[in-house]
Amino acid sequence: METLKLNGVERQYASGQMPATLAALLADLGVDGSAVVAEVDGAIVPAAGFAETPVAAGQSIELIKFMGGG
Amino acid sequence: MPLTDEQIERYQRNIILKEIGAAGQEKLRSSKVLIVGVGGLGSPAALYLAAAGVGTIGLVDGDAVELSNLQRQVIHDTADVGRRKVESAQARMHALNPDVTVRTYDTWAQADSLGSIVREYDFVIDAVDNFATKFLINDVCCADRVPFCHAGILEFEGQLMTVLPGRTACYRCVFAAPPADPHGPIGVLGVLPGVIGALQATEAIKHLLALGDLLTDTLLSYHALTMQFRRLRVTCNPKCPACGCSHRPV
Repeated sequence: METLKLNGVERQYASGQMPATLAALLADLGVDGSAVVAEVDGAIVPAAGFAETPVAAGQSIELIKFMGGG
Repeated sequence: MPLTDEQIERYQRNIILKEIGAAGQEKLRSSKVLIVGVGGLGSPAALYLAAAGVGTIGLVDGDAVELSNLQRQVIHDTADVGRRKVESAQARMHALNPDVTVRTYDTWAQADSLGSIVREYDFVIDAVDNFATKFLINDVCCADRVPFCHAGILEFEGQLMTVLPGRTACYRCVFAAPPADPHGPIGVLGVLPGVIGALQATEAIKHLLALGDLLTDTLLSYHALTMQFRRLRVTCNPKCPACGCSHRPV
């Protein structure tokens, strides 16, 4: 098993089943990539970088929603 | 000028806090806070800052009160529907605390005018309801080095962070550019902006009185359905075009 920490919660994948990129992870989760930015091990990744950003076991990923309401 | 007997009575519960005392109350009285947006977030922020005795509070909003606002914008009353929001809020704040000077700006926040307003204040509260203006407030406050507290809400969730421009990560360090605004109104649990707006007022008072730890380099998120608060550390983006926090002193 391989593990990611996603928004503070551990998420497990069978070996080889972990999404390869942030874009694939978001698609897997059903999250609209234009509605979030990601923070991977403390570094912010904007939406434009989702497709090129690899996902690897052991990472801590935060998906931060845009919240425009007031 | 020392506090009057009436002020000492009004602010008794502040003053008996050893962290505030009469000196802190006098500091609040001499402080100026600008609230941009007098809606869901701005309502509790304005009421609590007025109640706390912040001496000058500015209100920026170019809108009028609508019936559909009243589910969450608790500074306005049913009788205020159709009235300018800044006037409605000013009247309520004066009724709550006549000590407070409320300056009104019956206008939308604009790039060419917001800077001259912001520069007159010690702290700014971002309580607007659209991404473009949230980024504008961030950029103007960063350019003029005015501390501010950002917040946003969506359905059952809210988030906030405090920015000390040039020293801590700004909104644009985290969210580089605004996404498209949603088409039509978003749903929001009416009490949610009450929680988040009150937290923004808390940050303002803490900053004015140099109390405690501000939500700097930290995005606090709150989910009403799970009752979870999460603190997320965020860092300065060295390439951020707004804040220049990469140049902060070590």
